[in-house]
Amino acid sequence: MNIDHILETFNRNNVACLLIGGVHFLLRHKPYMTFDIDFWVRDDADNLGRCEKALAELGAEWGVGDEDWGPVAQRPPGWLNSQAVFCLASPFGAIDIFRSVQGLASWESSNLHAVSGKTASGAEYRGISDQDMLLCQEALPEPMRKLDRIRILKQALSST
Amino acid sequence: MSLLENQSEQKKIEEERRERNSDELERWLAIQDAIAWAEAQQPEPRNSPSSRIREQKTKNNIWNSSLPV
Repeated sequence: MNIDHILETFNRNNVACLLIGGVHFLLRHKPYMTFDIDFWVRDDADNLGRCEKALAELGAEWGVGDEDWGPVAQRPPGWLNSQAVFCLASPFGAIDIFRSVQGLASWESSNLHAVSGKTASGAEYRGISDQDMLLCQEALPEPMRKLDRIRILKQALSST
Repeated sequence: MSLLENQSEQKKIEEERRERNSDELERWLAIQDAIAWAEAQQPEPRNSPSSRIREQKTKNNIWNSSLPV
């Protein structure tokens, strides 16, 4: 998985996005085994267009089902409008794109208290706050919640 | 004193020392390599089309309801 390259490609294309999920957790807290990088993108037409361009540059593939699976570069513009969550494959790792996140009111309000950081290689990112990470874990159906992540987030929040 | 006595405390001290002396960039690259390695051990890699489509269906069942219309 090449997280740096994925982040740099999104940054170069000026995609307004916040990291959520396991990669964000491992960057902010401790190493955590995760297999995809989750982006919450600002849900407007221009930004979705930039996101489509970044994903095409990464050589990402996507489909609603097996029958239409293929490179996103071959799709007509606007394909990111079709559903809430997209699970893509790319040569640099699996990428999930969220247009909304359950438990969090809006991208704009989460962006106000988002955290900025850099990977050790220097790739810049912005990600949701610990409080928001906790809120979206708690909004998940119980079997999908990551209990170890919730415990560490609660510890971090209680020590601040 | 048994070797097992205070083992968890000793392990914590050892880990903290290793962390202090490790190179941040090397550690970050090793994490990414470890993820790629673990992914390759899966019977069906997470980055495969069928796995991605299955996960997408599950997530959309949860998140579609929260998408503004």
